[in-house]
Amino acid sequence: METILQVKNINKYFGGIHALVDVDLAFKCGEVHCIVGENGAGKSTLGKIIAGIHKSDTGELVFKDAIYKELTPAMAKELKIAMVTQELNLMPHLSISENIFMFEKDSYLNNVIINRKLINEKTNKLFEHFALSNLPPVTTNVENLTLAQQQIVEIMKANSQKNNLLIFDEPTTTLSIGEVKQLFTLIRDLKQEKVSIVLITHRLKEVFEIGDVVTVLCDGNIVKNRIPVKDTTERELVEWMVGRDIKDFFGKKETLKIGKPVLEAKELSDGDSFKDISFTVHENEILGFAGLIGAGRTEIMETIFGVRKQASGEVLLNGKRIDHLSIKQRIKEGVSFVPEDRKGKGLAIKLPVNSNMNQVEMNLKDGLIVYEGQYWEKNEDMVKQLRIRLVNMLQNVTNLSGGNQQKVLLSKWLSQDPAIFIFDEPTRGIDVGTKTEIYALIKKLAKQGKAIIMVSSELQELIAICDRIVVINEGRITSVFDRNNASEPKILEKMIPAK
Amino acid sequence: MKNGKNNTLKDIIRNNSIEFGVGVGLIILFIVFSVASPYFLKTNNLYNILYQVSAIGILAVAQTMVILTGGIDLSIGSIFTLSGWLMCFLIKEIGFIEGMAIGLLVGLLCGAINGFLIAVTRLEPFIITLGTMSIFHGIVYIISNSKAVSNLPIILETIDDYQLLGIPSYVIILLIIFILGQLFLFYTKTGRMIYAIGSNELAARFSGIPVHLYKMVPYVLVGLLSFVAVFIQSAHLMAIDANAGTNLNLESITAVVIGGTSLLGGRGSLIGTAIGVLLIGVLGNGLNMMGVSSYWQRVVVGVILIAAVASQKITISARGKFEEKK
Repeated sequence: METILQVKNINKYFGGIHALVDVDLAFKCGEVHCIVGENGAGKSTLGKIIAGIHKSDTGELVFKDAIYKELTPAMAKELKIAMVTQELNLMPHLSISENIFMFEKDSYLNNVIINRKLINEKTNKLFEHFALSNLPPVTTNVENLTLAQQQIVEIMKANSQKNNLLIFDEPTTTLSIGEVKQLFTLIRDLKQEKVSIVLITHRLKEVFEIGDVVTVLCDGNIVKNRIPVKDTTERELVEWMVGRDIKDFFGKKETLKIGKPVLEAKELSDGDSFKDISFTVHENEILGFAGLIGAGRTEIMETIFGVRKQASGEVLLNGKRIDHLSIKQRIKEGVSFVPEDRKGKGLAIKLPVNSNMNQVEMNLKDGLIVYEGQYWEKNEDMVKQLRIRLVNMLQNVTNLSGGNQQKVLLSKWLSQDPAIFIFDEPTRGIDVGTKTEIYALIKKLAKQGKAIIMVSSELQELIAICDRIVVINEGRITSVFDRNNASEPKILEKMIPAK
Repeated sequence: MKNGKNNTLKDIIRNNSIEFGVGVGLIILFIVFSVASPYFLKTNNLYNILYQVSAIGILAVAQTMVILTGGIDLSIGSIFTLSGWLMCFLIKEIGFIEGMAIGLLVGLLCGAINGFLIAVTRLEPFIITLGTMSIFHGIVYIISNSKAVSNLPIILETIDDYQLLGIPSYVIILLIIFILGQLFLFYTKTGRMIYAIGSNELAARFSGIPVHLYKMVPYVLVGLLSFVAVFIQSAHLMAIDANAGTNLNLESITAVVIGGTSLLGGRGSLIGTAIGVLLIGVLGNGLNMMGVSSYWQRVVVGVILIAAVASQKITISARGKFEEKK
């Protein structure tokens, strides 16, 4: 296969952090090249340097035979290099077709007036080409699309020209199973068309499903360069990524004696996204919730916690109804909720670490006067206990890594010692090392007698951690699996809507 | 914060770099004007500066709290005028206590109406207060017929002239309000919740904080402090006219923004606002002494505002990079 692009001796610094160290890597036509590594390993940075979004400090890029010191986004476009970045860069108030084609010169009559008819046609043609059918009309504004559909639009934007090299940065994080399938079909098509594909991913399964070669990054260094996928295993990849031997990724699961019921939901509904939800979670029990994105899992949890209006049904805590209570009162009764969207719903992003940790505690405190310093020792204990890596507690919480932010978010509830923990995607977007710590923490809490609900889109994780797994499909419970008879295929079958 | 363990002086400066930045600007202005004019540093002139900024300073305290929640109060000047005009009119017609009480009540009521409308309709504070700005000022015109109230009773002059240990009453009131305000923001639950809500309202809700209840508080405080501010000003001028507070809407916001409070909420302090207020006062006073016309002064204030916020933005991104580096 022909090499289309080579990066040579790339070094990149962000302030004092050496993000990429002497990276040499080749990309070939008609090949799916996966890049894996922990958070902060430098995967996205590498992708962005290739796409001209970041500039490298040293090194060069060799495209076909031409040598470039660095690329700009415009040059990358000319060389037909495109990247689907992790953050969506769409304009919500513009239509799908405008989002895809508005930066093309040909989209304008005489360079001035937008030719809507043309771009709509072009967009429809593009969708047909990739056999995308379940999208709304191309004149729909992007703000009316689901997150997954927006991601598809973003991918289409990158494919609006025929590319030589196409980089996907974690494209599947926001997609549901069906859409992932669609994306992989698309990638296979592109491969047929001799496009060089770079797939940056967290999900190692995907590497084996679609990758040809895999490169492993650890702390900015390439630890394994272009290993053929068929010659490696998932476990091996994890060990290379973490740079150490992981004995048991999920930890050992002890079978605990299940205690008395803690939280009960009876025929719960919000009148919109879910209906007839009944389940019980007991002391010492970890209850998993599986389902596609948009199946209604988050909505159920938000309703139980009280941030979403409940239409009918009952929620009982220790046999007492709590669904008429305010959020604050529910927290006092012992409910806690760690939301999935860390930056959107979880953290006060402009405040320091300690203020974030104290938020729940201060709100519950009686009286008018608080002094945040009074919690300082408690905060320090928490930092030690959870091994949160930070410079100091007055540091702004946005400057922590994803894993450490998640720990701060957890600590805000841990200090309240609630009876039930509801974790919504507790390991999303965090590195492998922190994941194992969070699994250990969840298991420790169960051992202490807490009831735990864990919503997750990673089935492996649910199967490894949970005692029982509830499957939600289009807002209803389709099945409950016991830990002993749960398997990925069985759960998947129940997750996917019947056609 | 409990000190001594992790935070060094460097940390303190870094966490308050914006306040320090504006503070340095203020000191530079002070030095320039005291060199340029021998009268600048005279006690009388300094008190004069403080008087000139007393109304806007007190309003800026309330405005800071509103802005910290991520809101804004455009009706602050109208509340100032409405409660002030009624107070003066009633002091003259009925009596001192009655006038004061009704003026205060009207101020609080106006603030409560703003807070209530924002909590109930969930509309942008900008829109609600843009509406009430017009409503409250309209009411002033209706009841006053656009007439001023003057020749207020002598008791107001007595209060204005009162000095404690040689410090004029308005300076004392100004100082007390800033100190109480800062203590309120840092050491009361409501104060901390104001920061939490402004920083991320959704996250606050997910922590169980009754967001809309807390969001009302700063608007009510606007009502209270508008009354205090207008009282000081009318006592000094011994009169009030129907347009007394028109400029104060935007001037109070200018002072808050120069002081480093983010218009998006969650970041800022009354220390910054105090410096911002002083900066505006010193600038006006100093330029006056140097014979710069008031028309030009407006231009200068605009330039300072943009320059201050631009430099703050640079500071914040530099600080972010610095922490990333660590």
